Amino acid sequence: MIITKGISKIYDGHKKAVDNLNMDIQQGEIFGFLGPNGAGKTTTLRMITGILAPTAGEILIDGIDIRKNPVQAKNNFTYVPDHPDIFNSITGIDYLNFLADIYNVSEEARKKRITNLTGEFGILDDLGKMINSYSHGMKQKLLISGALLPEPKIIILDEPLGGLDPRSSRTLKSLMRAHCDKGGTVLFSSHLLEIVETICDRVGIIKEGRLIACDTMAEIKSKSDSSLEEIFMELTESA
Amino acid sequence: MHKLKALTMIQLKDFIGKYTSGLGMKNKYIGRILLLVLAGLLAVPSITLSIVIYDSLQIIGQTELLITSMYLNSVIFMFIFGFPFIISVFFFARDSHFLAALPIREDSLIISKLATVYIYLLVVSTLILGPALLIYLINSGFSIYLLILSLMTLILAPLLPLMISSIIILPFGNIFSRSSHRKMLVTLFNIIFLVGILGFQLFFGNYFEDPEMVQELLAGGGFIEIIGMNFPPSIWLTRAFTGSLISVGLFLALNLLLIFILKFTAKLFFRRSLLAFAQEGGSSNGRIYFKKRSRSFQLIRRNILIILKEPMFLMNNGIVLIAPIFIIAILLIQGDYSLAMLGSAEMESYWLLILSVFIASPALMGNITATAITREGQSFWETRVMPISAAENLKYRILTTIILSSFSSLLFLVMALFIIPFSLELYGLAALFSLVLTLLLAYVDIVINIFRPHLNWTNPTAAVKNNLNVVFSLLIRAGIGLVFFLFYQIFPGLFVGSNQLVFISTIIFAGLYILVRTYVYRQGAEKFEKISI
Repeated sequence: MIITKGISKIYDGHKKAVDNLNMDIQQGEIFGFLGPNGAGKTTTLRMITGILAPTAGEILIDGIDIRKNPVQAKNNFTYVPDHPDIFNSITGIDYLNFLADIYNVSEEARKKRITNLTGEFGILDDLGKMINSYSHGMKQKLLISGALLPEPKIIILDEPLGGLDPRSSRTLKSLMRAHCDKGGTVLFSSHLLEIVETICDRVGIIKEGRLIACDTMAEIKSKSDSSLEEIFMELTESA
Repeated sequence: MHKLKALTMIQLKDFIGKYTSGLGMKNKYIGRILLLVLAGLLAVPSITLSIVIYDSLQIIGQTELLITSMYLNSVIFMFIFGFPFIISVFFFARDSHFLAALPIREDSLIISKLATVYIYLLVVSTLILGPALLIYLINSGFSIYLLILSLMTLILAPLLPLMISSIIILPFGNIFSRSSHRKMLVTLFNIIFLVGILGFQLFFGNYFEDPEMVQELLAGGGFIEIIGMNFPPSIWLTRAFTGSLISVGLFLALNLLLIFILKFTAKLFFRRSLLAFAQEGGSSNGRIYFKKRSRSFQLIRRNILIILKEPMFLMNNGIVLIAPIFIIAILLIQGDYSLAMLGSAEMESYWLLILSVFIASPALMGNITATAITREGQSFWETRVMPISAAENLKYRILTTIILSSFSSLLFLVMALFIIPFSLELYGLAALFSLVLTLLLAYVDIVINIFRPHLNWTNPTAAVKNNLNVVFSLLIRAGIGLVFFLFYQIFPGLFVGSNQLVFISTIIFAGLYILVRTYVYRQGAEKFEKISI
């Protein structure tokens, strides 16, 4: 579903944020993207979503090159950034209706999905309020609800669990799993190794812009008796 | 004192950093050169005005009145520039809560914030009052007394408008912070205040430039006294330049008094106004709806709401869109022009030109698309990840400007229809000229913003005011005007009257519009796709 072929990102002509990254994320899997701070996770996700142009390489979303056919490629995914920086002088329901219109969600479907999703995250009663009155966690829940609303093939999330309370975190995990069970794909970055360990089908570990490991959880764990945390520490220190 | 110094330094660094990054120049040396050139250009009108006033005053032998006049001018300009800046720094800055948690006295927080405003106003004062002081100094022969006095005047000049503005804002901020529409109220208050100041400036501007008027005023009890009655610091300053040490003392004492007043009210200012104002909570719960709308409606609505919901953007755009009405009203009140004069037979050959420029003035003065991308700031990613082509994304930003400018132009057209009954043909031609110019300038401005997007702002003022895009956009307008003026001057025979000039301009602008539009949706869209966040 998502293929990156040798993508690199160089800032100011010399700062290499991502270096020749190759990944192939399959349909129906939850792919966890790990790495220490500043490893290049956000830059990679921003390149995959078309926010940043790669210096080199190619990105295919469901077989469509995002640089050559951005609109077609973007029809296949939604994105939740690490910081909920959204235009916040509108109400929560304005924001969700805006997304529903952009992704062409019918009135009937949006009513059902908005009610269900925001109900599960506990923000349904706050949808009529201005977003700028929301807490960080509420904004995060609104963004996640917005990303799930169009029922896209792929959902890309950058550190989505950071601002969530335990109940919402659990809701998100079950929604991610349900999405993949229906044939969807989830790519998300996180620092929370225990969550990655429990819900991801495959993980990729990035350090200094290079992918240093990429495999199923079972494969990674079969090579060592250690926990994912210990493997992560080992890999990111030695690589 | 150590904490105050550290806080002031960090606020100043933050301000300078924001300002220079707001200019959006990648090469810092080019940026600095450009800033100097810009400062030079901004000082030109002030230099010219100072020379004209000095020459006029030499006739009546009271050249020190140049200081009175230009000091008053600079104070008025500092109010115009400083008032919105103070509001922006205090009410719309995002660091109020962060600062409130620091173990620093509240008056220190206020003073450190005012330090950034002071630097800003010092630049304004240097550009307006600086040339006058220099001209007076050169013509009076350099003396140590005058040199020290000039430097003191320049350094102290921003304090008065700074302190008075802050003291005025205090009670209003306190009142507004209790309202659910506080941001809107501040914007409205700001517009009213600026209109008032601008009106004062336009109204009194003529007195200083006309020697006959000056002599008339002198005969009626003394010019200094007349001005001084309304604004004593100007009289003290003028007398200080003629050697009165008592006046120097009075001028210094007034500034010190204002600093003390502000220092004693700072605690109240911080608690009752700033912190209360910065609280975002308590939003009322609106209706939940699930209505399907078109994509174009949603994208235009989003762009319009970004302007309407951000007080600084609303104020900035609102002022440029209504300013022409205000300027014309002032000119009519002043008696420089009258409706009868405009409608007279001698002016007939200029009717179409005047009407066209009047109706097109929102497009000429406003440059909304020059910041259409920048205005989004960190939320720019939203439309970038959506399945919208770059061309479509740009189209709705441009359409937003066209809608706002055209709405304003339409109001002007209706106003003109009621004021002077020109022929319908004339109105039609003027409307066509206005429409073509609105289209052209909306597309030209987006090109500027595509090349110079600045999304990393933390203060909305940096997005729309401290932004060279706006200057470039205005320079392009000035350039277009200059080309046509020169063409008209060099080849007067080519034009039978101004009607022909308007007609030919409309055709040229239409051609340029097609060219720029083609560029925007081809190369411009490609460049837009490459904008990094």
